[in-house]
Amino acid sequence: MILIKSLRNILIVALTSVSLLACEEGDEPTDEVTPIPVVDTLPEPVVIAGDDELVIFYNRSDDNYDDWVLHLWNGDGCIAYAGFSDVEGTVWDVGQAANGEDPNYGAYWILPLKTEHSGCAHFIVHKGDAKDIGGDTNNVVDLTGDRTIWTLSGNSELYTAAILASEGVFIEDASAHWLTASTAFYYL
Amino acid sequence: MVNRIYRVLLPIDNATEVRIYHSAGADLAFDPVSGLPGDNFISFTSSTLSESEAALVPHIKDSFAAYATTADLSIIKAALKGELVAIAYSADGEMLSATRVQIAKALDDIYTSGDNDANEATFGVAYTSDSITVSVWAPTAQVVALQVFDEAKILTSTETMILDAATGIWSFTGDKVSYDRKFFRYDVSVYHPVSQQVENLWSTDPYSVSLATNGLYSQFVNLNDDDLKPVDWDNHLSPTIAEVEDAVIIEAHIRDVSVTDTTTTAENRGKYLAFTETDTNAVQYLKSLADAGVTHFHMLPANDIATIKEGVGETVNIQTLLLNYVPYNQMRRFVGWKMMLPLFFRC
Repeated sequence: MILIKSLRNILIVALTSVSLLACEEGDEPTDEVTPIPVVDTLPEPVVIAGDDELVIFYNRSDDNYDDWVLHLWNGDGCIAYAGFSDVEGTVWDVGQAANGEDPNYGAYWILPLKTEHSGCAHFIVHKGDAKDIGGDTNNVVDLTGDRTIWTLSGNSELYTAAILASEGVFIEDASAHWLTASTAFYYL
Repeated sequence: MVNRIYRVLLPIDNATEVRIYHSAGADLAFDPVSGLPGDNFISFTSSTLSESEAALVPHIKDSFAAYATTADLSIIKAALKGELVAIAYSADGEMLSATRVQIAKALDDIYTSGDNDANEATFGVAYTSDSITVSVWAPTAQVVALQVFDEAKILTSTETMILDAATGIWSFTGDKVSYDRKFFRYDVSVYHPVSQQVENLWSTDPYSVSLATNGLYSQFVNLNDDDLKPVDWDNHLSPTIAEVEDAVIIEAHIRDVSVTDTTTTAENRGKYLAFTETDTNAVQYLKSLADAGVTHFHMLPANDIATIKEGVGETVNIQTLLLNYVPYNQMRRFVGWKMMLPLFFRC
């Protein structure tokens, strides 16, 4: 899988320790961004999915999350969100506003799930009609794991472990169109 | 010497070089900072589309930028069989973007633009007096083998198929006595863009003239064999129509024409042979339609459908579930058809 190989320069650490999350009483969260660490540990996220919750992180390099919302819906094989009937979801023009921002992992949403959810969920990160993440049939959230996903703007991958964007580029879409040899020329 | 220019379009116009990396084993290990290692790439530089090329891609001809290569055709053909990643570089070698590659138009051009190549070829099963050739277009396949099965669908042999590099056609020729009426499948190794891996897949022949139950195997069959021709087949005259605009067409499922017609023998009800029972209500009704001006009967469906099982005992007939509705069904259907007729003739 190229995806796995392509992430060598991105630090991925499974977050296993819930206890580290608990801030000491009186601690105020700061806006200070933790620099990309050089050791293989990543900062803990400020939220973690509880039972029957899905947490989605959306990380933008410009840190501007104004008007970026989630479109959520039940149906198309995935009935998940507790807030909607089995065939309904958010109104596109309104969407679901973020619950907050993590200083490292970007905007996050905490989404209550139906107790008897079908194991997968749909979402699209969008601002008006500009879509960034999701909406593709391949981009369905698997709810059988930790129910927390991390996303990076411009990268369609849904990461199931914490991830910070590194420098460099990702393989995006299949937007190169190899055409023809309609032009012939002669050389000696 | 003739050389050809191959162009690729990307949604980035400030690249100095575009490299299309290729891997037959689908093991491109992309790194966000360093890109891809090695020299297994084809280099493209900034270019412009010809008019005929632009006509092929009206949706992106203005918003995408063209890059061209004069790489050797054999290298390009080999590259198109594997995983591809296009990386755009700036003048100082910085990686600007990376994306996967759509190759359909390149395949069309390489294999179908000549006078006597893939789109002029004959596919499927072809007989001579003593041999059978079977051929299929699979220009991106890395290997295609022919699996041969006996009547019980037991694999009896696996034959090597030969690729014609000029056309992308894989073929096999064998003795007629060894293969006639046997069943077969293609066993294909091919890079799959969804899984991004080389997959081993089997397929029936897309040009099959005869299939096993549920379409699971193709069959070597010569449609000119005497035992496969109905009586008077060779002398049968098919009606023609001078102007296709004059056609008056009725469209119906083969099954629906007779499945509830009690004047059709139970054995043939809902089947092809129902049309051979010329005195039944079903066929007489079709004749009355023809007398009323209908010129064509569009049969649905006349081929196998992958999702419908056809074996005896595997079929589901709706009238067996709706017993109370059935006694009236036939008359309602015919009345319905007659009510439908004005709709046809009004058009």
